[in-house]
Amino acid sequence: MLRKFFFLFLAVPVIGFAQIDSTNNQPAEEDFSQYDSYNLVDKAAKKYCTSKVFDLSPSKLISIGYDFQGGYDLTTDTLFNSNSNQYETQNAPGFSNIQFSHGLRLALNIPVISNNAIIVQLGANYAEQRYQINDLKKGIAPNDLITTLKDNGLRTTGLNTTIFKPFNEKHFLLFQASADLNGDYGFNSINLKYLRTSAAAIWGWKKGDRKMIGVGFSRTYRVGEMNYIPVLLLNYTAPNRKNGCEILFPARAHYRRTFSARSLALFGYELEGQSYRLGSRNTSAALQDLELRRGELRIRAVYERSISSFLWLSAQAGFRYNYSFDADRLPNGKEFFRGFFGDQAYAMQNTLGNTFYCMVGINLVSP
Amino acid sequence: MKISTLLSISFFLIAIVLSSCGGSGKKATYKIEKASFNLEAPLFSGANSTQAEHKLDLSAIKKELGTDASEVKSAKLIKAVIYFQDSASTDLANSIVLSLAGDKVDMAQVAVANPLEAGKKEVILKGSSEAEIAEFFNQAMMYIVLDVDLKNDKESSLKLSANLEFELEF
Amino acid sequence: MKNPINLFLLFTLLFTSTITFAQQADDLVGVWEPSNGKVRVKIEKIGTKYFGRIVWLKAPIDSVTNKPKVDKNNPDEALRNVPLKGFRLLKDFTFKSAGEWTEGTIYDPENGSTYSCTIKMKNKNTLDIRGYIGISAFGRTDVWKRLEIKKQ
Repeated sequence: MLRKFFFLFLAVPVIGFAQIDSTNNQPAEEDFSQYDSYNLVDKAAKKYCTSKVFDLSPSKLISIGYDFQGGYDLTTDTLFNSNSNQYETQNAPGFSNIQFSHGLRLALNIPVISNNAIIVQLGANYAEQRYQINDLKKGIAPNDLITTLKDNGLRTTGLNTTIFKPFNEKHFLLFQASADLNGDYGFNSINLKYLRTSAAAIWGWKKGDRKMIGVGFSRTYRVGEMNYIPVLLLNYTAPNRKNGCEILFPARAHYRRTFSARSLALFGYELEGQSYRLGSRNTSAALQDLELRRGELRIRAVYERSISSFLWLSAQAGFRYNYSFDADRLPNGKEFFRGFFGDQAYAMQNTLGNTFYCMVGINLVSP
Repeated sequence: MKISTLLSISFFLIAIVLSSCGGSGKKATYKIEKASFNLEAPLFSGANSTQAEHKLDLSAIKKELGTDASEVKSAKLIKAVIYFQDSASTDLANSIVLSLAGDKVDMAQVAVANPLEAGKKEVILKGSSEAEIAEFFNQAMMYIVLDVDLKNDKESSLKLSANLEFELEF
Repeated sequence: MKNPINLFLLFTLLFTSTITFAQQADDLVGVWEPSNGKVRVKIEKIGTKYFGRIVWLKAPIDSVTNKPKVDKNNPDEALRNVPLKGFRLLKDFTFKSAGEWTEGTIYDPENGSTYSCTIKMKNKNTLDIRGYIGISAFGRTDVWKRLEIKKQ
């Protein structure tokens, strides 16, 4: 009797299991019109706008690039010592022909929090500028700036964060901040005196899947020296999904041509620059507390295409126009604000020739 | 409303060795003929799924090719034809998508026809040259999945059959 | 263990847990809507795995072609004519443990990319769907909500 009872009980779950598991591998046929009348079981997930518009060039998670600038001339000024109000004639003007300059560029961006309500991205970046300089002309004393560029080059090593906070389907806040160590340092002479920070905050409006605009304010070194400037954001894709623009004025502005979901071209410009502390590896006292303001305008064409799912190749070429290669003597080593209208004298006003440049990179992207 | 689909009535499997001893490996053609699908009425407009379970049998091919042929290293769909049975024709549907699925292999879309040429009894699907499907042929069984996008609701069942041809490389 | 009642309890426990396992696995089955509300996806089971098809599109017609939307961004050119309505967006999910399905992929028709994907059920009507590239850190989580025909 007990045995019968046992098997009876045993049979119930077995049948139950068979029913559940017998998926029969036959998906049911669908009355597709029925889904019009479906409703959410509980309250809807709050809707937020996304950080992208259709066909926006893909954001780079890992980026490895190489930048090359063709030959140009560098004429360096005599150093002006604002303390003594005199030129430091012992550090004579220099002239050199830079055969080419080049350097590696690495970037890593990790979305540490990424959901529809917020994206917090942390990044690290490294960029270098190495200068291949011909021997100085005979009879001209070596100039300390040219010497350190030749021997040490310029480096940027930094950390950054980007936060995209949507508040609803229309409004968002975009915040970017970076802390970079810029200078002619070597990795054994890293010091916080090389630290330069920049930041931008943008309040934006998402106007559908093809348009987002924003206005904001930034503290930036893009033109070489520290400046506070307003910024405008416009990412737009035309209804035909072929043309668009990606603008973060004044930092960069591009017209975008989309060939497919896996290839696109950008035409426009980018302002690129940093402020570099010099003198780390040079015994010359003349370079101490000297801050080189490198700012350049890159008018360019960029081609990006997928070579294997999320691995994209990026190639760009264009004209590099020098905006600033001047240097400041920082009072007591402290950064100061000149802006567009300040009248503080430069310690060194240098002339850098313009040239063509190109950059190639391989990127792990998030389309 | 739900309808269950009955399927997989008969398979006639003919495996013919077309060629062998290529430079990169031995090749053979694997044919699945008259794989049957039944979309049971009532049917609704939109994409209706049906599937057929197919037990793989490569023994004849392997025997022909010899002991080297132990594992399929690449596979490509070279022909996929869907036949409308009874009085049905292509007029009923907008499109047909063919996929392969397996318990241990990721599903792969392998061919599509969209739109269908009107008034025909058979449809030749355009096969993907990139779909990676070799692993399906190293399993004991796979599912052949058809998504048929019907133009209108249909009160009677729809029977289809498929002839598929794959090129396998060992 | 010789006691038949003990044996009975053991078997009952074993089969009950098997049923519970299967029921939990099938909790995923149903119609779901991503947070953007642009599509509705029906998750169903084929073999031992779970797949999700688009069954409803908010904007079913392509504004450029004026025809029903197709998978025009598919990297495989031969498959760019596959209709989006009925398209399998979620593929090959296996039930890992209570409320978690893994080893699947999610496809974004907007850019033709297939992401690795895990699904976590926060409650019976809410899913956290995380698509990622390579490692989970390179990913994004979206909230999907369950849909049902409204009861009269």
